[in-house]
Amino acid sequence: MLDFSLVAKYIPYLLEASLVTLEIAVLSIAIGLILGLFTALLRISGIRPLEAIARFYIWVTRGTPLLVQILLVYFGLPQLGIDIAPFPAAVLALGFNAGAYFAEIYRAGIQSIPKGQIEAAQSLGMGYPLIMRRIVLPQALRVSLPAMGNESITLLKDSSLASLVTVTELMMASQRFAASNYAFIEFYITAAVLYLVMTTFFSFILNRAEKRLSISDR
Amino acid sequence: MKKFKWILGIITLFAVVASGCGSQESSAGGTQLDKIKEAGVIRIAIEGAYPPYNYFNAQNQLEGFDVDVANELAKRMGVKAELIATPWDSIIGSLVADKFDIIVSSMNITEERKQKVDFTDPYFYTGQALFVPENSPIQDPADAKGKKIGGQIGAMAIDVATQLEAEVVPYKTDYIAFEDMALGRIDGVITDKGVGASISKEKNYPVKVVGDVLLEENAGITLNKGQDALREELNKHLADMRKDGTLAAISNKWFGRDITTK
Repeated sequence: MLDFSLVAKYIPYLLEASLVTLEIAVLSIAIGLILGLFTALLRISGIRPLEAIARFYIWVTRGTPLLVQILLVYFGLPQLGIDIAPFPAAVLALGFNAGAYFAEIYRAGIQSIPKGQIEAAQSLGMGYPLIMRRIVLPQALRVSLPAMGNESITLLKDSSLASLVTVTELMMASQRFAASNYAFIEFYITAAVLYLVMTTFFSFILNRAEKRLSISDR
Repeated sequence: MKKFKWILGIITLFAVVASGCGSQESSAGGTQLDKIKEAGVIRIAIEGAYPPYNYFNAQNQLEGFDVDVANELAKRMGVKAELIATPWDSIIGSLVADKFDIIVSSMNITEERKQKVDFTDPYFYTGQALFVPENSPIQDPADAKGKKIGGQIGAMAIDVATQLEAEVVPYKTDYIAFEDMALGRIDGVITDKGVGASISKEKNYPVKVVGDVLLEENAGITLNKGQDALREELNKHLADMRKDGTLAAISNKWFGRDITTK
């Protein structure tokens, strides 16, 4: 009943769309990692107003659907005179969303570092930025890596929501060809396999990174 | 259903706010028509998931009845057509947010839509019909009361099903609704008679049409409100295409009959 020969001639377009999916994922993860780090540092800064800003951002972003956030960026920002093309709008919304999750992951990592280490570094005369850079963050990163891997894989799959703002990523392309051939099971299974290949690639890179960072444990 | 209403609500909210901003812009920088002529490009939204009206072929190119009409219109306007595939549920919101100039995507002219956008004269006539399995107990559209009837989100089918007092089951696209009907999960599907016939023929579904056309539809080209110059320009070319037989020829190419006259 399933006819995959149908899918064959569309493979080049599906691969092209997979590349768009990867681009969205990688760019928004990059934005999320940077935004998340700054948010985490604000969140644990001990300065009340800065903490409040970080808390508010995390609260709103984690508490509202990603779908709504993407629509807000694409349809909402033009109201403020900021007209964003579909692709950057999707990347921005996803990166903004990921930032909140990454912030909490960083925070968990940072707070897992025993206070004694920080006190020891202070007694050596190290300042806050140096302690963060040399002592806390390198260890925190290692602790956070598995959770970051999880979030990255989730993000890769969530990039399918970009189809709503006319970005032709993998899910959008699959839906199109499914529609023109009335063959959705075939195209969606193919899309699922392509997503699996991409997430496997992500997992592989993360495993390598984890191994590298845990050298000191051996 | 709830979720869909939310999304629609949000899009509408922005659409309303956007229309305010949009008209300000156009009054400052000439009409939409001037802008199109100046750019030499008309940006046309087409859903691209509604064969045979509009869909993506094996070359990843948009084709179908709407696509031919859109290209012909652009040609007559003396500008290049830039076709933008846009999901049906965000297509009106995107037009109002000025992401493109017009929609040529078999959009039925309705009073609800007219609150937000404007339409040209109809360029073809069609209707919604109720499709049921061949052995269905539903003999008449009135029998659909209380039955599970599928239709596409954001399409007229949902309204028609509601009027029949059926239990409405919304789908992302029509062919998924047909598949669900073939699996026996819903009792019928309401959609455009041409689209439904095309799906059931292609997939060999044992289905039939019950009763007459439930709702006569006039499909128009959609544009933003307050763009009278653009609407008149489009109407002029549509009338010409009707007169010189181009519109009928395009219809015959895709449907084997003329759907552009009543």
